[in-house]
Amino acid sequence: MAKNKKQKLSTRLVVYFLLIAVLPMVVIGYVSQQASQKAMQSHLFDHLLSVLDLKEQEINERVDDFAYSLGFVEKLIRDDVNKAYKAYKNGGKEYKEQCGVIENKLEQLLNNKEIFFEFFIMDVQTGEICLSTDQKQIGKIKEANFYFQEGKRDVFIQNIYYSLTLGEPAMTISIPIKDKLGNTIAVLAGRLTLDKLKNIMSQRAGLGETGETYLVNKFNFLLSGLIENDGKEDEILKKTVYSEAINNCLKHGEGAGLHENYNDNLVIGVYRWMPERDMCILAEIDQEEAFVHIRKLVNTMWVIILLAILAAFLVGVLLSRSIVRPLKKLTEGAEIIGKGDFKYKIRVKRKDELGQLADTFNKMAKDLGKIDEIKSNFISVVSHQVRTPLTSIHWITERLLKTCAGCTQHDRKYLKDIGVSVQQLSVLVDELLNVTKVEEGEISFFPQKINVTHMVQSYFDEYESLLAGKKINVSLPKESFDVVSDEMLLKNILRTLVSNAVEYTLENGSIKVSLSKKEDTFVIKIKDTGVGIREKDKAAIFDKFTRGSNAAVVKTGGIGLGLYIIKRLTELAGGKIWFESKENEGTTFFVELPLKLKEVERIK
Amino acid sequence: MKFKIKQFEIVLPGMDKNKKTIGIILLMAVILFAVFYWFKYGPEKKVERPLEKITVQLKWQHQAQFAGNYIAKEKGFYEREGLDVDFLPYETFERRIEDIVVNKEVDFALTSANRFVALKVEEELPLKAIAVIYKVNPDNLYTLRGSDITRPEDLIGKTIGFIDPNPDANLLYYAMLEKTSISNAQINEATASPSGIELIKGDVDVISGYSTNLPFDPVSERFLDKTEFNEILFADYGAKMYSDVLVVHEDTINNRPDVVEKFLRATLDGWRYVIEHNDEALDVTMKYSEKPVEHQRYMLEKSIRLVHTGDSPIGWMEKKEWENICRILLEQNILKDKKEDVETFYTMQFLNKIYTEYGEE
Repeated sequence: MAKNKKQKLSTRLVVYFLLIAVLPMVVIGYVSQQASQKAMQSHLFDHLLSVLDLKEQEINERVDDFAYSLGFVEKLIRDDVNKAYKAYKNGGKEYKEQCGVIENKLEQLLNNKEIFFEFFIMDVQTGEICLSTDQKQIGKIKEANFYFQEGKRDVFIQNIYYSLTLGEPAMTISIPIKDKLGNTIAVLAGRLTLDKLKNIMSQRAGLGETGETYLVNKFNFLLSGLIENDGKEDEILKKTVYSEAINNCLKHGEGAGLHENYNDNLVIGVYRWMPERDMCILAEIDQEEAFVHIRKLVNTMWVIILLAILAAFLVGVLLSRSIVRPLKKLTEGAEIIGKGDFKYKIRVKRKDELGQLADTFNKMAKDLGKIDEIKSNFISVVSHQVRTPLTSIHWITERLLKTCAGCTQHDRKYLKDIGVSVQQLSVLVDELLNVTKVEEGEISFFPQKINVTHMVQSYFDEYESLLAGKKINVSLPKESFDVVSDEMLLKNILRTLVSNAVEYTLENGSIKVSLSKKEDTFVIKIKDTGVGIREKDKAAIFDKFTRGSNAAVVKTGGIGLGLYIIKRLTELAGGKIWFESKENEGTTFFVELPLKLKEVERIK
Repeated sequence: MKFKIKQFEIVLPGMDKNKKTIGIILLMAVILFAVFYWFKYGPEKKVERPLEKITVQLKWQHQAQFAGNYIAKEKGFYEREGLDVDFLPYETFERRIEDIVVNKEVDFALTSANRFVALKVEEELPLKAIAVIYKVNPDNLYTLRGSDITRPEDLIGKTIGFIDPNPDANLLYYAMLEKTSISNAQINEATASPSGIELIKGDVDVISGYSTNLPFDPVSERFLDKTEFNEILFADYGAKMYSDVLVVHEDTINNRPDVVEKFLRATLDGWRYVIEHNDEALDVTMKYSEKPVEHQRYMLEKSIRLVHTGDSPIGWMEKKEWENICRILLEQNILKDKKEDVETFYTMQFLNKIYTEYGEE
């Protein structure tokens, strides 16, 4: 029990210490990580948004430039187209001539195909291409195309689409050509070179290793090259891409977040629907790259936290040990002192409260020792003083019984009672004296040849009438058994054990004494069928002033010193005493003593 | 009862009983982690289910025109959907593709959009289109480069050899003449053999064809180079309409809509894959087709442009395009009634569902 408590205390101390030391650290670490990640995120979002703004602006400006350029072309050829239109209507010969003039002008305006690589004019009624810088296109009917239908009314910029005629992605701008009354007489269209737009998207300045911007049309087709292909034009309108961000963006949304991109990479990205262009623009950067500094910070933090845990653990262990160790010593010391060793000193070399406690403890033990000594001396003195008059009373009573001729029967009985009482008192005083002696080690042994059989017999003789009254069957050893031992020692042992056996054995019981020799010891075994010793009493049966809890049932007298004394005596003689017992069945005492006791003279 | 002093006992927290507790906690943590790891990265639980057998009637012989289907099978897109798909090439001209579907001999078929519309109206076949694969008809006219015949008006006074069998060519040819206001009386018509030898020999000036085919010279037994011929695509001159449409029996739509959806999804994925991986698509096509690889390469390149127009999702269908087919058929007197309800020809339920899910991926 005591051990467990100690462990619990030290564990608790360490755990508390760890909690106090580590919890705030972890919390602070987590909070600061979150805060810095948030700061980093918002910084990145701002950065990506500014890139997005820039690209969007560039694209819009560029496309506006394209439209403006086409408008310029339209102005330059408007009069010629009007002339040709009139000639066509009148079926004049000049129509073809005029067409040639326009064609030449358009050819020149293509200007090395830097912006447009083809101009063509469509009949406003049929959508037929009546004039083109690419002869092959003449005669084709574009009636169903958006750039014709929308271009009849106003400037129209068709999104990047896949041109069947060209066999590649294209972007076409169209504009109406009007007469002086404001009626559309034809539609001018220009096919754009996509290089300029591609260049805008392929510039990735300020986006790190993994950052990229890309365009997606409303059918999830990529309109610009991806970083993984180094911005090759092959990608355009070939690859479909899907991601949460693209999905949201195509619903005409705008936003920013941490998400998986089309390649299932975790990215931090922003996206925006471009209503004028009918497409989505996205800017994304890999989270791994974006948060590399934060990740480093977090790693460092974890190392620090781990070290802190280790340090807290060690400090906690040391702290708990410094508290628990003296406590343990105090507990041990208290137990030893409790056993009666008042000279024991608890060694706690400390000057704090625990040291003071130990000092107080030691002082207490010393005081208790003094009190015990005073008590012993008191008993010793009292016993001596009482024994002498008792001996006189005993002697006088014996004399009176023998010599008193005029005593009546009643008088004799009184005298006998006095004798018995004095005898009991003498035994009690003897026991008290013996206690003092054994405790102070004032016991001397004078070995001599003793017949144990006789001695046993003589003690049972004393109880003859009592044994007969209780009808107890006694079985004693018959053969003489000689040992070299101290008479006082054996008398004490046998008197106590025999009287216990006789008194605790109930009517119709039995007592058996046997003697046996070992190599250089002999064993006295006294077995009775008495009340036995209860299990709970067994440990303390040899303690001072201790009697079995069921002893009083049988025997009213006795103060619980007999067994204590003979145990001490046996031990002083180098022997041992033990017992086997079961409640209500009986007890067997064993005393083992040396066959040849050594002479000891110990007088204080 | 002597008390034994344990002078050298070291009491450390976490030992003895506590050691056991900590051990149990650690063990539980390890087990939890293992369980978590297993669920996250462990092998996916494959539910073994038998693949459903599906047969598709192709519009023609095995060739790059069906590359999306081949890829869908080869890359396991069909299997992923729980389907085991077989393709039947169209080799017998005695039976109409539509009838094969009506008889439920196949589950799906690829057929010509205008023929499908005509039959649907005339015979009220219980079929519906679920997607369009070739969004533009590839029917065309080939002329030799030296002839300088490059546009419809150049045809006047020339002889055209129509290769049999191709009923669509005539329809679209007349539609084009109508649009370009050229009278067919000004052009001579003849028949030509499938080899097209009449053009090479000079018996005809023009020959009808299919834009995805590379013209073959049977005399020198080689394909013509791109620089050796001109083509007049009907679609460029006002005769533009849907071509290959995927049709299915109405019973299949009603009874097994899941199968239709799965088949279509895998097929569209196949075409997406073809668009992104041309070389691989050609390799897979060559596992099916017995035609020369250079011909198939050309066909694949051309097919992609017909499938993927960039102005709508792959397979997508527009009502106005179906109306356009009706209009051309009416103009050519193939349909009589002007008020056809085009929405009975096709269903968008599968395309809508598939593309919504794509967006939500």
